[in-house]
Amino acid sequence: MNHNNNNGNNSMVKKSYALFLIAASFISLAWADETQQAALTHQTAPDCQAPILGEQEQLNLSNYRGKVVYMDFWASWCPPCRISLPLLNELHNELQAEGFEVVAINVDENREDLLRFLQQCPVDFTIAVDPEGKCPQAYEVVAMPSSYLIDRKGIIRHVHHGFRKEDIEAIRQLVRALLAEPA
Amino acid sequence: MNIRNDAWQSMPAILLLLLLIGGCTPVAPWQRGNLAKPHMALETDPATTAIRRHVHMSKEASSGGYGSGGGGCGCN
Amino acid sequence: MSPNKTAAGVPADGIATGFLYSHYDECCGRMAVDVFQAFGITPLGESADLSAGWVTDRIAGASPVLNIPFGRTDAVAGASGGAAKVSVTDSARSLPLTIAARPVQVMSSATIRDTRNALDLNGQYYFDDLTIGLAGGASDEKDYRSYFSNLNLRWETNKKMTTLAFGAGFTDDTITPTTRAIKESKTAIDSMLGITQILDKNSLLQANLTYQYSSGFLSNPYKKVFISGGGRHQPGLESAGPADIFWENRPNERHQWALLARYLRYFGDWDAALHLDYRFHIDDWSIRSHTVEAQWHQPLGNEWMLVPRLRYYSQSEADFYSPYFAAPRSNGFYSSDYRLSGFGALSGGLTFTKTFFDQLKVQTGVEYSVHKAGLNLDGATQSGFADFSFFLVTAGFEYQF
Repeated sequence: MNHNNNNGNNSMVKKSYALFLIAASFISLAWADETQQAALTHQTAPDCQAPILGEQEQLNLSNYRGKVVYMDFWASWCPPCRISLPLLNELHNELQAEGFEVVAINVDENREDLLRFLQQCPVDFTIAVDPEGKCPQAYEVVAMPSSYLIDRKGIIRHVHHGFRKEDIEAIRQLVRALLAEPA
Repeated sequence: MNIRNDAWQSMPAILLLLLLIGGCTPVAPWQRGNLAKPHMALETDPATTAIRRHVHMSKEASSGGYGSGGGGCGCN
Repeated sequence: MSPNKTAAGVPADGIATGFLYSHYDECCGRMAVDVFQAFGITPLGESADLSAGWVTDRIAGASPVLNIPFGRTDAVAGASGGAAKVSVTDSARSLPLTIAARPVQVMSSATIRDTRNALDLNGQYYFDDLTIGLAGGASDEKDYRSYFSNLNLRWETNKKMTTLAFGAGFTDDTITPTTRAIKESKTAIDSMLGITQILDKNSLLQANLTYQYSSGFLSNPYKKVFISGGGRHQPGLESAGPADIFWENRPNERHQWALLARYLRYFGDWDAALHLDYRFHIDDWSIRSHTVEAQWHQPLGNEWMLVPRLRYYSQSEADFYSPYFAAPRSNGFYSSDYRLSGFGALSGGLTFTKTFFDQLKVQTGVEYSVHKAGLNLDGATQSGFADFSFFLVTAGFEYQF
């Protein structure tokens, strides 16, 4: 077994210095992790500019006053988003007559990716396009997908991050509850 | 040989890495499209990687760096 | 090794399975190996998944077991001079040694045939920002059995821009060579500290530091060394039959460190990704190595993907390595295993993949590699007598249910 004993003190200093450097960077990175995103719940849903797909006009939230709106931020490259869209489409068709609307804001930077996805998975609800990300910024989106359930008065009542197949049932219950409220 | 003395050759590389890491632009969650592409995954083809790593480990004297774990074999 | 397709911190969204066949072929009448890999992954509930992998490999062919100085080929039966295959017999006589004669490789006499089977399992549990994985497995062949287990943690932090990873593993091997009446054991612990950092919209960087400590029987039980004047037996040195020929003897401990840096960059104009790896490896056997690998992932339209790759590897020789030994070494450690010599390796490869309906992925690939003493970064430390090359061909598929 080969052992060298030279520079005992010197190598101890170097070793501690390296460990300190590594530990300091880990700690500073962890510290930079903000513990909680600002909760937008109970605030009026902010307006944001995004053209509606296939139309000239911009998205205007005041048009939806009096309805319950599920505002979803999604992209074709996000696997949970792809799972959520067909399920949301079903829910939209089921409850639209009662005043429920789904507004899905797509943030794909590449329009072709969005169009290709919609070819494979067409939906009946409103899609707005925001490749520059102005809307997610206004809504302080911290994960993809993120959804904001807005009541008939235009107040954000629930914020949901991520999506699992099972979530659709809980969403259905929340939407029903909000539909029962007066405008 | 003194592994400590030679290991300090990699110190500049470590410092450079830490600096690079420190100086990066924040990427918002909705801007992760390119990073989410399948060919931007760190591991795109686990089975081929596994056989190549095995071949390298059997024919060379170095192992490690890619992760922890994996077993041994009497490979010649 | 079973695939972990969910390194992104999200459980598998469905069952997937796959199979890969590989054929490894060395030049010059050396060995060939057929490898069959099967693997699968399944989600377990909402927050976990389990992957499993099976490998069977079949080896056939010859492998170098000894180097002898050129003048001594008459000491072994069936000699034909040069670097031809010769077989070592017990009736070799000791003759005067010509020092500094060029080394001649002696191959294993009979064709090796062996089958190895290995199973590994990997379970991962996903919390919001933390993933915990536990893996284990075993590998079994006629003369070698290995059990291994591993724990790994991944923590996504800094708004998911940074992922910290930690791993620790343990390996326990039992070696029972077919041609010797010994049973030996070897254990290793390994650990890893890693960081993956998103640099910008199109690139990321990963840096891993690994450390492995092995102890026990670290020699190759089939390899021999030629030590002139080896009449004076050292402790740990066992005669391998003919005079001057002994079983190799490596130290019974080894500390290895490796630092890996991987850079990934997306090029929008090509819709392609560049993967660049550099690994520095160092251990207390005096082996230092550098590995550089570059891959270019190019989609070709119509769900085709082409990945060319290039790899360069250079290692320095172990301090107890020599093609043969003109005199005994004071610490009693000897090896002439070509894998501990100083050499460089250059390889190039190409993989084609075609995906059908986002569900079935079919691929085939080829890689050619050249190992030469002269390709070493520090220059050749020995002649090219141990140089060789190999082909690796792969074909397989993956199906997502």
